[in-house]
Amino acid sequence: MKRSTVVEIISSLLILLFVYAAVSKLLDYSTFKLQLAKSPFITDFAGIIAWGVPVTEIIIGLLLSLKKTRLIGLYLSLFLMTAFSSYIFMMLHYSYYIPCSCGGILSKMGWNTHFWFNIAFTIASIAGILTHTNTSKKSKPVIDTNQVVFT
Amino acid sequence: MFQLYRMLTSTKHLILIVGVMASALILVSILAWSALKPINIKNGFNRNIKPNFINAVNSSEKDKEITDIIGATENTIYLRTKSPGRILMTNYRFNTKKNILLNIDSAKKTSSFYYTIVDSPQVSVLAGNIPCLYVSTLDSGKKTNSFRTPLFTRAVMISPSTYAFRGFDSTIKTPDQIFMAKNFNTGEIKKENNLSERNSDAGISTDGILNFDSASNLITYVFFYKNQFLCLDTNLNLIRRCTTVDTTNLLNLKTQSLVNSKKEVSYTNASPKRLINSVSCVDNGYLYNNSHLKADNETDETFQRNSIIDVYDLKNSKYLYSFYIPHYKKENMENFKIIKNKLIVLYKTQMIYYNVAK
Repeated sequence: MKRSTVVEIISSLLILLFVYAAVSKLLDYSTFKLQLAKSPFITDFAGIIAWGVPVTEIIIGLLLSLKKTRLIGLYLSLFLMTAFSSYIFMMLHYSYYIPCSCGGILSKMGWNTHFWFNIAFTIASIAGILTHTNTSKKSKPVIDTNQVVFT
Repeated sequence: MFQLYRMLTSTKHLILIVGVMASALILVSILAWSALKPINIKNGFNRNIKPNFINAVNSSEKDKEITDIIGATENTIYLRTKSPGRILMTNYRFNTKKNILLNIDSAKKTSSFYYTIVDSPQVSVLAGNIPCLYVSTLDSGKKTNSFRTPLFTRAVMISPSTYAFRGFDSTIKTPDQIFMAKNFNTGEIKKENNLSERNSDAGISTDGILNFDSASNLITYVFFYKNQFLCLDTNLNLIRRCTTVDTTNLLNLKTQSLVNSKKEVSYTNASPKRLINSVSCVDNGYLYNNSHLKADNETDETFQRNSIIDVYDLKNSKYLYSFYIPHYKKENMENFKIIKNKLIVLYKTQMIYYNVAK
């Protein structure tokens, strides 16, 4: 499989995930905000995060869908997925109270399943960045090959 | 040159990947640390901790179906299972196990929320979502009588025919819970006299555990989210409003009402549930309460490896002393009962019988 195809598949999966997650959060905004308010770690910031997370997810989705901004999108995906994964890990290990998870189909998963689901997308983001980097290098073969030949 | 360029760009991306991941991790760690910081501060009280107060006598693997200790005699322990129609009976060596089957409908509505109380030979099953009381005996489980109860969330048996409830009453205009008692022989219902707080939140913020001590003839109600417990007589008169040993007196749970598309109203917590007290039991004039607050004379390590039990004298509601129930292989104690110096503890996968020092 071509490296560019791999990047496109990873980006599409991330777009699907972020857009679905953002839309389901915004459609059931009050429940999402309430669940955030129940979390010991983010209860004080529930209002900001309830808007901030879905808006960020949509922005990342847009960045991933454009070729020029895909790499930035992949880095932001990595940031968000690492934050989500570490949040779940810390909630499971250090929190005195664990509320229900967020809305949509993802709420059907338990916290443990959700953690591994996020880890899988974190790994996918890393794979996307590394593959994208190699693809970019391969897209400038003339310059690179010349440099190799003439030095 | 190309090799060098390739190596440098790869290194640059690897550094960026690590940097992005580390910054996300740091951000979440700061949030977690700032949330947990107030818990780790000194709580401004000391406990009188009795070392080596309990010693393990017997233990057994716990059947996954077991959910609670619902009664005990000198030789027998009765355990609730996930099915309202099945009680498990064992001894203090845990080497005999017997099922007692009751003629109770184990439909989802019944099994979704119920209490079982064994006061040998009487067995009472109180199904909160019906709401209904089933009464049977250990030897004739097939003969079961059922009675209509008030809509309740907490229930205890105070005599073979009378039960106390914390629940809803149609005469209360706001969505709040009150204490009630019903005699099922006479049908007489007693209600508290303006005792419960009215927060219009279905009683969530004032939730707690209801117990009845036959030795002192007192009903106790320990609040989950504040450092208080109530002592009531069997006529539901307030005998004492008492404070627990800690100094946290602020009600810290926010609640919120939710209206669904069918215009049905439900209530939920709108802030993290920060427990002050959790499981508690009464025996022979004493209240045993599992507190979730660390005293200043306890170390973090001891507090994290044990469940602390504070003991109160129900004669005057004074704090007496505390003791630890150790965790079993990192498993917290889930439930416990003390019956005449015998302590039975349920963990996630284990049940242990401890002897209590006299």
